[in-house]
Amino acid sequence: MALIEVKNLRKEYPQHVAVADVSFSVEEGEIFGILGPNGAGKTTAVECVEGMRKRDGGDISVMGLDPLKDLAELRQVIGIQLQQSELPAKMKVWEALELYSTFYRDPVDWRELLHEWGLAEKADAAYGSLSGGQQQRLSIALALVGKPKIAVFDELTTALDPHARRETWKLIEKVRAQDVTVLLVTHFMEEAERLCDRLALIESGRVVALDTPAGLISRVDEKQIIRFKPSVDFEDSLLTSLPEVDSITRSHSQVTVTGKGNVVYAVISVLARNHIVAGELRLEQASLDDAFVALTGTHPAT
Amino acid sequence: MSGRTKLTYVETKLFLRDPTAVFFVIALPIMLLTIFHFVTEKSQDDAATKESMEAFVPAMAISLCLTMLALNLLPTTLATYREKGILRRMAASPVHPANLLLAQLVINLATATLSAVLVLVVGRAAFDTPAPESVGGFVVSFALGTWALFAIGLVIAAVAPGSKAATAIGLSLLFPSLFFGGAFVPKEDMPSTLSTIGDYTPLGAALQALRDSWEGQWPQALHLSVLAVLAVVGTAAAAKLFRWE
Repeated sequence: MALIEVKNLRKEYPQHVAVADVSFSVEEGEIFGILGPNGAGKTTAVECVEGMRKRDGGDISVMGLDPLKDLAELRQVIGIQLQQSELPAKMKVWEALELYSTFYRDPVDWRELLHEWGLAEKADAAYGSLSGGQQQRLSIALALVGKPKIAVFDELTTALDPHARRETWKLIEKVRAQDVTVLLVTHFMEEAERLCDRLALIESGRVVALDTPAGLISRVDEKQIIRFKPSVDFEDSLLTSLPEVDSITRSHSQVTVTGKGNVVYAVISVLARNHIVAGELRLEQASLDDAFVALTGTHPAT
Repeated sequence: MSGRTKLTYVETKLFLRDPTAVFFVIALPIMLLTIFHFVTEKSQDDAATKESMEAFVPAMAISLCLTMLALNLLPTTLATYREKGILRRMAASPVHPANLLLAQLVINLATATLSAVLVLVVGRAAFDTPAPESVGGFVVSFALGTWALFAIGLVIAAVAPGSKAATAIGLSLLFPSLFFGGAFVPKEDMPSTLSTIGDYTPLGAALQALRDSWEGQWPQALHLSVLAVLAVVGTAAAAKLFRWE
């Protein structure tokens, strides 16, 4: 049975419908991504699952618990990292972890969390003096202090620089390695592609696609583009005669070939047989970005 | 320690890390007692005026402390907690953020009481300030005054959009309160219109009630009713208006 089950979730505000109809299920041990453009309703949907907001319609079951009815029990099994939430500036790192550990029935040893999340040296530092990355690690550690079965991370890496973002991805994989199921809200394609086992792509409060990252990519055009500068000139017919090649265009010394399937292998083989070296070779394939654009009609954040 | 006890303990540590809080509560009332002691000692006033000042100064120091805590420190802290998402963070844990509010209230009330005790003890030990003659009146005035002022502080915390706004609202209430309430100039030396307005302000009513009990009279029904009405209406309004995010 799925760990999280969401059916026809709906959430309205006085001026607009934030979540129109969202259904998905998360299996135990997965990293499940909620992906979509800003304002698509990702956070609202996840907050209904967490019980941070009250849904207006549909059904939600989290480990058999209904967030509307069993909130107290749900809080014990779910670890939540929120967008834009801080701690008091003068609270020390160890105080925050120790305090939050007293809130749970069966917490982990907060001293272990300090070491595990690289905060031991900063244990005595005030929250306000920490760097963005350190605050982020503390926020993840706090979400895990209650020994949760499910962890929800909302736009965890949005405020981080590319290096810190990659570090955070390693941390999320580490969370999963501890048998915690992860629900990850993001609008970064690279992040979703790298981390998630499955994704729900949300647009205007509805799920427009639900698949693995590779599955989503394969839904868009399979066209591949090869660009290179040949060492010697050759006739177009050398390549257009190949069944995998659709077209060939030239601008200055650069050749652009488009095709399908095994086109890369076919083109490279023919060039090699004719002793032509393909210089500055570039290959363009559809990415999750393209899938995102094709399925939502909007461009993802970069 | 249970979550709630631990929370109150940690919040107390945070409160003590803020030097302004400690200043207003411990240093300011004692400074006021000291300054007024030297001013009145040297003055040529008659015995009756000196006696009236002996009741005015400690009552003023206590109500000033109360007002600072209730209208400034508490609302700014709570509005910061909401603005920074600290209340929301707690809502994501098994402990409801109402416990954080409660912890803050307990700390501020304890601080107010501590500063009142300090005024009484230091005044007695260092400057021979007489104790309140009507102990019952003093306790009732202090309790009702504290409740009324804190209720107004909670309303500020409830309606202020952010911590800066909370500070601004608090200060804009503080100075008129001090002026109309007779903290700058004793009520009897003010024009009657001003002093009548003062009777209906929380600080003015609390200060007069405290002064009366210091001089051995039971506080006037007018002042106690003003405080009671403000306390009840303020508490209800704060509970109704408070937002967690």
